[in-house]
Amino acid sequence: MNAKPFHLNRTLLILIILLVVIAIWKPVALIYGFQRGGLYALIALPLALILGIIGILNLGHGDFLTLAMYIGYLLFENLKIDPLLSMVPLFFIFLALGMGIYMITIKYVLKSGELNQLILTFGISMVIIQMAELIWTTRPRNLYVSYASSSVSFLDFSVGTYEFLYPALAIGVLIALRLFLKKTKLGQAATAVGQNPRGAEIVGIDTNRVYFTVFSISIGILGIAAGVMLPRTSIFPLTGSPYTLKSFALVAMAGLGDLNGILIGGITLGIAEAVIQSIPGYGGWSDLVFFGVLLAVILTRAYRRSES
Amino acid sequence: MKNRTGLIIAVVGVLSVMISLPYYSGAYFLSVTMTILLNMTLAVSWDMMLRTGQLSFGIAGFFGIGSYVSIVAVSNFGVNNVVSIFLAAAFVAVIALALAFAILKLRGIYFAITTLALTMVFSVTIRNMPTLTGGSGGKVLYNTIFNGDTTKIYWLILTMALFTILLSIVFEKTRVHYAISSIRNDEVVAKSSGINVFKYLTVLFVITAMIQGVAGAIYTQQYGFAYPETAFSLDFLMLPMAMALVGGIYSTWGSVIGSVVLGLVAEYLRLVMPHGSKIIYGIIVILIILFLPKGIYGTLESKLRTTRNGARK
Amino acid sequence: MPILETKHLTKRFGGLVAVDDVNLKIEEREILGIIGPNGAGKTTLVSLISGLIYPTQGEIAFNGKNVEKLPEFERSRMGLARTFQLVRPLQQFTGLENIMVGALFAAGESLKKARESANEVCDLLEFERRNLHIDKLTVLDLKKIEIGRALASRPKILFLDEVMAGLNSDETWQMISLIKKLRNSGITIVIIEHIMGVIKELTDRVVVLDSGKVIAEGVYTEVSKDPKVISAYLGEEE
Repeated sequence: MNAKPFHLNRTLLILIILLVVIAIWKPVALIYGFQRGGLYALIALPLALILGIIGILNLGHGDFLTLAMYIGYLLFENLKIDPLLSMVPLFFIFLALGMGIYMITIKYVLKSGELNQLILTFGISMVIIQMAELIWTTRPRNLYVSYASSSVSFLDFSVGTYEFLYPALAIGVLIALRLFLKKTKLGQAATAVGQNPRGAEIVGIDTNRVYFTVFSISIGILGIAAGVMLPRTSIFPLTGSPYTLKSFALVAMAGLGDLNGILIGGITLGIAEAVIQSIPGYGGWSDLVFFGVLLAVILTRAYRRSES
Repeated sequence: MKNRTGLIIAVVGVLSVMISLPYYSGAYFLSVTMTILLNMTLAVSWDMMLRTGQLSFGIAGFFGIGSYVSIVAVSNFGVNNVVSIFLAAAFVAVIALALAFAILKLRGIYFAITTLALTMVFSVTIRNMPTLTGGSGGKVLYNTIFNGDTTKIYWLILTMALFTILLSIVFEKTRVHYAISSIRNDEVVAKSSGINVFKYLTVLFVITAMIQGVAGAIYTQQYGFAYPETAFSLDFLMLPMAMALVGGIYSTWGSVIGSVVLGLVAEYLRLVMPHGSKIIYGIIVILIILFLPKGIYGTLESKLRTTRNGARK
Repeated sequence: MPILETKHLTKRFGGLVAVDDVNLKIEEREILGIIGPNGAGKTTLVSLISGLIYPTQGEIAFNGKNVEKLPEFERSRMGLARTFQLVRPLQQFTGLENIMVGALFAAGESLKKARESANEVCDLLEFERRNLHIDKLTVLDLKKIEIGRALASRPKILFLDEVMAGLNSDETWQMISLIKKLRNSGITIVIIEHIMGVIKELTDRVVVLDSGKVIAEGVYTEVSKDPKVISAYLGEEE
């Protein structure tokens, strides 16, 4: 207990020193990483909610994101809805989709064990991927809006300004979620359920309603993320898939229930990725950053637990 | 006694039909059978690990490594094609053994997600070693196994499938069954009953990984190429999982029945809808989990048991 | 030489000391009772000895050999057996198969031999519905499985963690006579129990735990008059 603040300070200190070093060595990578890290955090937050409160790891997480992007794309092509505006309808469409998925599937595996839950969400993931392939084929889609390609240049390099929306939105969603969990009755119930589901049930909390709400809100947030990603992301059936594992890596790193940690972790790993990517000839290894961290975190936890 | 004779006759009958298949079956049916046998091998091996209570998403990872070891050994180092399959088995075994010490302390979602992440790590690693593996461009094999003789390749795949099934049955009939079922049911009780949990998990993990590696090696030898996208394709995870689930998990015959049923369905679907037919697997997996968690064989077996018990009373 | 001895055995969970410097000597073929109010650390003590958890400090000697660092499965193979307070049957198996598991692994018997041993244990326990699946059995049956699995492992010392809980008085008497039978067959028995009548009936000696510490030791009739013991139990009731 006593060691924790010191530990945190030391980690922060190392982080700050690293950031300064990177800022001097590769300033562009620092900014890219900050932007992309914001996006990772934005996408990981809803996964953390579902895992932390319902206790289910949704392996279809990234694929819901893919689906949301396709629908955002359709809204743009057919109804000329600006991608940034489409965040609003996308949020509600996916809120409803989340409700539906919960009612017809998740609800029935709540008590049937981790194995069945994992297999179920893996099945959902496969269905979304294959459905996207069936309807839209594997041909990538891109949509263009002029504001998304603006950039600023200072010194002798330029960075896109649009991407600053990612961390901004991540912070916004984080604040909104925290307010929801702290200030609303349902949010407080959700926190209680996350910490002690059985106890919550005993004191009369309707866990089913909590799960239903948390699941649909989480899927809804993916609609928001899809909206902001649309102008700068090429859409194909596997666009979202990598985000499932990356989000889980962030949640594992931050620890269950620590939403702030996800933002810090996302930005840290985003920067790490960008730095590796900027090294000529080794860019391809940047994908290993998340998996490496994921494996390292999980294994250290397992060993620490088995020693005590 | 009568039962046993019947069983022996049935086994000999099925075996002789399977072995002699290339002599009277057309090329198309033979190739469908080979695909089914390959997936059956993967399904049974996946289920064998599942019986310990550990859900592995690592099939595709070991399959991919097996593929690449085999193809690299043949085309870069001039190893004999058949030898390369054994080499793949040995290589995968070493990797799995090393990993076992690290990851077999994990349980539940942490074990599952780690095996999935390892698949990605393997695939990224292969992709980023272009001089050895051809990178993302993949690798093509010029001297194929048995000079491309389909009959011999078929026998090779049949041997692999039969060996896996036999091993799985042995594990079901011996003390291994009691050990791993206890671990799955209640690890605390397993330990206090004298079961060396780590030993059994390691043995099962390494053996099933080897089987998956060998399957990858044979697949690569059969088709003569390896690309990161195909060798590490999650299809090699999804399809076997679906097959085991359809047939019924925690049993050899469940996986076998499931792979024949779903294998034939899959082939039919591939013909009628060339794109996205795999959506059906996903739907089947979801439906099975929701409505028939014991699968075909498991449901039949427990029905049979209740009627038999009822008759006894 | 005592069959089992603990020296300064201590287990801390964070700031909580669950077992605090416990020195026990258990003699061969005795029935020792461990009593104490709820949360006194009785089950933790058993789990330390059986190897489910490892001590923070201290030693455990079994037949003169230090075992505190050995994994649980090895201790069980040496002849240390325990039951669990809440019965933990293996869901997939029949009653008989549950009991076989102990014979197969802790006693290292072959499948055929283990089946025979398990049947013998079932006979001893008067467990008739041994071939039914777990979901069709009664509480007493499940308790018998719990004990049977431990017995089939051919233990030298057996820890019974609240085996009487949930039994009616007839069943309790059956269990008491069974435990006496076991002792006569040469097994050292340690029972943890809340029901003082059972302790009084069965034990040669009792050890009283409170807040992880041994506060009294001796014959039950004497210990039960010890003011420290009385106040520990009174404290619980308040």
